[in-house]
Amino acid sequence: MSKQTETPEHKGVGLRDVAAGLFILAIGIAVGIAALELNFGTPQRMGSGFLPFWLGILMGLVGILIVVGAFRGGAAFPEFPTIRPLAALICGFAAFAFLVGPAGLIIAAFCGIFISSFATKQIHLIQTLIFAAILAGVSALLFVVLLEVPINIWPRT
Amino acid sequence: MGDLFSNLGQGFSVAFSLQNIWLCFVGTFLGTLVGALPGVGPIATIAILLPITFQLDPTGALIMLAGIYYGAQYGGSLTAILLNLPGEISSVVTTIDGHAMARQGRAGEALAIAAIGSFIAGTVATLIIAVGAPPLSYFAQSFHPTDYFALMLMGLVLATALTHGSMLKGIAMVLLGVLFSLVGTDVTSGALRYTMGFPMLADGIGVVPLAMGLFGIAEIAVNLEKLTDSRAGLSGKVSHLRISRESWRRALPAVFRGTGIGSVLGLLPGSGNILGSFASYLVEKRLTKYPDEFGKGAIEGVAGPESANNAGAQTAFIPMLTLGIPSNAVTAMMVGALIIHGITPGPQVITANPDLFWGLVVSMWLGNVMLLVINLPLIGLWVRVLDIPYRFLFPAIVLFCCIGSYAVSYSAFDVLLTAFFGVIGYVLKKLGFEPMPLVLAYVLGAPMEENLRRALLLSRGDPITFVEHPMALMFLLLTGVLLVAGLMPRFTRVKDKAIQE
Repeated sequence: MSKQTETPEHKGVGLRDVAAGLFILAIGIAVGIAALELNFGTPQRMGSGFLPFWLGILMGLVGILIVVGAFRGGAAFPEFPTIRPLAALICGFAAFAFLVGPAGLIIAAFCGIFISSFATKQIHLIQTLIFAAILAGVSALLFVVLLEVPINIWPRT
Repeated sequence: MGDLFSNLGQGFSVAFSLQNIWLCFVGTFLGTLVGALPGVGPIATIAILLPITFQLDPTGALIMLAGIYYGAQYGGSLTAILLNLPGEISSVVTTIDGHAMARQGRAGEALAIAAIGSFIAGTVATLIIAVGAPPLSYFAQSFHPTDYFALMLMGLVLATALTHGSMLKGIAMVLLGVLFSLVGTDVTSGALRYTMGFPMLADGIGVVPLAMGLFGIAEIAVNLEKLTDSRAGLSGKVSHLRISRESWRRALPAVFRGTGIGSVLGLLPGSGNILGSFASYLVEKRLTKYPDEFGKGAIEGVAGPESANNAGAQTAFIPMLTLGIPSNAVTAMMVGALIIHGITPGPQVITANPDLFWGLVVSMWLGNVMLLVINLPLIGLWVRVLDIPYRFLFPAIVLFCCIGSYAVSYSAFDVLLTAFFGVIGYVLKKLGFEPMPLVLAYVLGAPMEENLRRALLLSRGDPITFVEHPMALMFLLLTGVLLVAGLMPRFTRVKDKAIQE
């Protein structure tokens, strides 16, 4: 794990940390603004917005400090060699989520596996189709028949 | 002393029921199986397997989780030694000499000493828990809300100080974790917070979508980006598991030293087992009579850190079980699992659920026995697992995550939430954030707010209460020292250098 996070130090501005700090700062601002709609209360009787408000402030501060620290140098902006793996995985999850209720486990699992398989480039269409079908069948057997997890196997009629 | 034996006896009667032995076995087996998959570290393994324990009763669930934990740890050692792929930071040191041993054809010896060392460490650490936890929990019952709040704060700050990278970014992760814990209905006022208009978020964010997304999916996505070859290179066959007499003589003292170091460092909230394995490696390197063998396959370099790792992994349960404060991502997930079962970890667990507590203590030891008697003979199977092409592996893991996150409450929304946290985890990884403190803060967020609220209510809103309680004051002072020391850039450099060494 440490091997991947080890990025060479640069002399200039560490753009990765600038991005990281701005990310936290943006969330902090959103959190703080949203907290204003909650009841702040008093210290003695903390309202639901008491902690969120200070959380937003703190996040903003930490975000700014991270950005400032980045000007002393640090890792370069991260590389995104390809967005393909993440996109395929997320689409696979989404397909499963939307299908499992109406279409049942086998169809949802088949589609989820098939779509997420596109995360790698080395994809053999027929092999993947067969593999997805087998895995969908096995999962239905394992979870629904053996472990008795109450999920529909086939579409609701 | 008599108490100890009757307590352990109670634990044995719980853990040695046929059902619980079976659960422990299945947990250890599945944990090793998933943990041995290249690119899936112990934390991801537990996140992935967490949902299968939810169908069980709390004691059985915790026993199975403990089994999964030990299995996953050992699976991590397997990939570290055979593939030079550390699944988590704490096994980085194992790769140094372990993989060197594998390249010399001594993989079997390295794996055997890792298992035996872990077993010895586990046995000692189990005894430490059995002896040490009850008095500590008794002591903790006298804690005032201010003490609790200060202690939790210290744990979080310690966690950020000990993780890799800049402390400031660790603090950012803590704050993000607190934010995720706030999502849902506020217990006191009933107000909805940060639900973004989703009624499904009224009950808050579950530990499964959070952990599975942050560790499981994000890890797979990052691995797939780098993985160009479909198979990791296996180096060295595992021929025999025999340890030569000479190796025994050198390894055993290292095992005991590692056990001692790991047990003590594992107690620190926030450090867990990471510090122990590094410290043990450094100690062995100093003490050895064969300094030039280090890095080239010295058996002490495997025996010490692996024992320390396992001992620390186990004593990390003490702060979790007695104070309700998890010390690493794994115990944090267990706290999340316990809460789902309706048990709030804290000093009352030992007295209110003695079966659960002592059953868990004994099953920890049982898990270590399982590792020794099942994992070692099955080594051929695990090696086969290492050889599965990744392109078949990851769709299976994805499917498992989908079904797992769905089956917690049969909500398609949870599956989408898992995917969402996958994206978050991916972005955090790319931006150089370490998600461990996030999970800790996610678990501690709610009790921290609750204790702060109570403390301020009791003091009529006067913050001086944190100075008036000596224990709270001590924790806060320590927190301050940690913050000041940790935020100095020199500290980060020294720490990262020590971690790299």
